[in-house]
Amino acid sequence: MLRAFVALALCFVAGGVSAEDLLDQPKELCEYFASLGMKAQFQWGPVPQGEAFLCQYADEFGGTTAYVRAARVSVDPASETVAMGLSIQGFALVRAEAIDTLETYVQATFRAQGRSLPEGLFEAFGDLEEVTRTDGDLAVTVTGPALWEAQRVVGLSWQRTADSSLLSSLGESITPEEVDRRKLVEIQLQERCLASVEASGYTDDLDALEMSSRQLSASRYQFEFTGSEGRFDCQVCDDADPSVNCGTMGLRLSFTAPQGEPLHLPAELDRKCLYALQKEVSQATDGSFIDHELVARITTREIPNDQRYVFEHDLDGGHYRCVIRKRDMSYRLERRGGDGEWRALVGGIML
Amino acid sequence: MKALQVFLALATAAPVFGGNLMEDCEPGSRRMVCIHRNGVCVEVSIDGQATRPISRENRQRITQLPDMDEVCWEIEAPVSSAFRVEARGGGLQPDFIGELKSIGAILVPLDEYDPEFDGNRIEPLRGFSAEADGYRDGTWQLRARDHFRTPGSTQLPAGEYVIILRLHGQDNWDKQEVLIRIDPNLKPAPAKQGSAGR
Repeated sequence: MLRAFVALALCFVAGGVSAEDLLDQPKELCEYFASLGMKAQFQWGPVPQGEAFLCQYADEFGGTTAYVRAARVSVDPASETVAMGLSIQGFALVRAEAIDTLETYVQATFRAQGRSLPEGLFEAFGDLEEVTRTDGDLAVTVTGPALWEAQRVVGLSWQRTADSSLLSSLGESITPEEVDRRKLVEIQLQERCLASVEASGYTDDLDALEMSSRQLSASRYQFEFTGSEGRFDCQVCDDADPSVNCGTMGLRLSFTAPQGEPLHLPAELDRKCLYALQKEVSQATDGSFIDHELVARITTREIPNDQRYVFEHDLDGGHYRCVIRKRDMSYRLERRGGDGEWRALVGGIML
Repeated sequence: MKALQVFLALATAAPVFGGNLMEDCEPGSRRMVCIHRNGVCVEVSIDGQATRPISRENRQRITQLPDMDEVCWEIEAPVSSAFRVEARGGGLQPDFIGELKSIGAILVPLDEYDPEFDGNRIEPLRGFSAEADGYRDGTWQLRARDHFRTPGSTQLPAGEYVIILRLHGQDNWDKQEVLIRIDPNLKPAPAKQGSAGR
């Protein structure tokens, strides 16, 4: 442990101020991550309420993805800080491999910005719990094994005070009209969550639920509804708005009974099937997750079935169906061939 | 109910089978005896019951369902819903797989079969795997993974299933696809820890 701290401390002293320099131009960093072909979950811009500026990018996830890179750059005028986080979620990797992959990713990021990676930085990884080391104004945080156990994530983040020129360059972050518009969006998203909570059948009294909300980023919210039966968590994004890159369609709902484990509940499965279909057939190359123009051309209808959720879709004369087995929420998206046979396009778990 | 009716109708349709009904279950020839990987070079027990070659009647019934050609084994009595598997090299060439390294388990439910949706393949149940109780040569238990729990996803209702067991050894691998019946009221066989080295 001591060795890790010493190594980390040395890197600041001997390695110069690479990370600090790197944070001078956060918008350019965002452009760099965009150039890697990563998908923009949030383009560089202001987030209401906190009014921080940020961007967030991640590799697209597929059924055979071994790992996913992610990057987040933010400037928070309220706390006057600028920060960058880089992480690897290693689905098919062991932790040591994920750390090696992260090192390569961080090295490439520094190199692309004309900086060198401080020596010994990755010696801070090991069996330590999350550790933050500060050197003057700069703080570096290294994730620990607990995060790996929970989410298979290793990551590094840098944070320091944002200088006045950076803060003043942001300009006015958000207009009052935009605040009103986004408040309306929040209400609409809350109603979507409540409709799914009601449809879940896990509560008899919607009015008795106490609600709290947290804005995760632009147009993405987490709502919590707590009642005597337990707690509902709902994560939702304004996936109908083409100006927002939500990453997926349909909300995520879970229920946790007192002293219980979280249970994922079926919610907005029609939207999720729609997302799976457009993802499969879209020819768009603009890097966005949702092809809204394509989505608008798809019609969907639900077919009642005892053991499955079944949605049939029509798109430009083509027939598709999305079949989700209720027992384990495994799904298959199929296309009907000219011979009338349904052929699988893709499958997985629908959450 | 619809699925059950279709299944029974298929099962009682009694198509005329030639002599090749059991062909996929036969061993390879001469020194290639294990190469079909249909389970003739391993010994497997589930909740303490040794697997046995599937009966002709069950084989005839089961191969009416899609993708069941390799179901060559069965268990006589029902097993628990958290059953334990024990395996080692055995059968016609006991040294074929070598020291057991891992057991992969894929569970396919048969009772919900519906030809409208399962015409080509019955999807295995997601979220179940075999985990070693101790060392690799001990028992392995079927466990529901905690990730992404959904209502009912961690329970196995009573019924008929096929468990596909991939038995990876140090030298080679074999596979048994076993027709089983699960009774959730039964208790799993006791765990065996095995040993670190044989």
